[in-house]
Amino acid sequence: MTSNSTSREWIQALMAEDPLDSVDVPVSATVDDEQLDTALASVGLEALSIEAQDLVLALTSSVASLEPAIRDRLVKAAGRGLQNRRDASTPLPRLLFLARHTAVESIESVATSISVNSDVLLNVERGRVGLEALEAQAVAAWVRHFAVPVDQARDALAKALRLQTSGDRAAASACGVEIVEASPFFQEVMSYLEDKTDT
Amino acid sequence: MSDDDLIQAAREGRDHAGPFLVSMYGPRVLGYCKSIASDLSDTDCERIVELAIEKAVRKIDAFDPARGKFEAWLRTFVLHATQDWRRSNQRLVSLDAETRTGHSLAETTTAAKPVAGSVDSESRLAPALQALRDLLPQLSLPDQVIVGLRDIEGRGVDEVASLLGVSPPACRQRHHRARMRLKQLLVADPRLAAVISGEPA
Repeated sequence: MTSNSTSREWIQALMAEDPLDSVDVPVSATVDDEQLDTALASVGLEALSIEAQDLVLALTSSVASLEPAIRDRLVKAAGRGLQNRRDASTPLPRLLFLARHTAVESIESVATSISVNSDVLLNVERGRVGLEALEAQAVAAWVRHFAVPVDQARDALAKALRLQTSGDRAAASACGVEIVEASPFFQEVMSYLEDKTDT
Repeated sequence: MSDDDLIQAAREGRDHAGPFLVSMYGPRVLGYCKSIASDLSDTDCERIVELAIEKAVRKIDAFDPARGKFEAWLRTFVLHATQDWRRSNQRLVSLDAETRTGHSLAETTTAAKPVAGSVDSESRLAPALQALRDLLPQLSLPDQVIVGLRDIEGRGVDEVASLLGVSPPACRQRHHRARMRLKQLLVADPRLAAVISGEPA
């Protein structure tokens, strides 16, 4: 199956092997057609077997020319996606700074909302002091304030604590996750984040 | 650069992944978008592909090479972005009509019913979607292809008939029977019962 014409010949042969009048399919009234349409429109081609995907791709292959301006826009779009990925795996203070920046909220407003001193919060956010300058409960409230998913917050918190412990990024990546995640501060923040009734 | 290298670079958030992705797949996904949305303008298709590429890169961790080709995976984002585009456009048309007539059209437009991709419909349909993902590969190859072309990609009967080298009536009948076979598989699956009855799985 290396070309459209080969794919077409192949699928046509398969169609011929299964003539219409040899098929006996009782009508099922149990599945609603509208629901099925909606579900099929949601699943995407990867729900098919790989062989069927290959056939569909080969049969419908279509290439459009990319003008330089459009190419630039698509590259920028991919760049935004990549930046989003980098932001999502950033240490917690920077992650929360980006969230505040996106929400266009002042540091004072956030500080008031989570009941901490705004100067302390700003220093933590900028990385001048460690996260432990705040109470674990305040860190959890800060995360909640921007509705950061718990899994993402866990990774970002671990990354921030590794950086604080080891001092630089290269050393941070070598610093064991287990060591950081076993620290009392990490555990306390996570226990607040995972227990919604406490904060 | 191979697909594997490209995907790894994108997963690591490396800048060079963007230009490579666009060079390798940009013309194909734009061509795909134009083929499934021939009623939309070139500008609309380009914007849809922009949105699809950005979202695909953000979600690149979800790509599983064991489940298929990267291009098929990218097509899903284009397909959903096209559906979203049509939906938002339909809302604008609906709002415009309401403004002119003074009557709410919410109940008479498709924008009012649950559609693929919305949070509500996705959570409600989650068991059925998983059942579909599990059961679709059990269909014969021709059945999968015709369901893929007609239902997943939303292509018209005439186009699919031409692609498959059969007459439009034969294509219509073949498609109908493929769906019947799929329904037979689905009704035997307990996950679907919850969706049909509206009860949680």
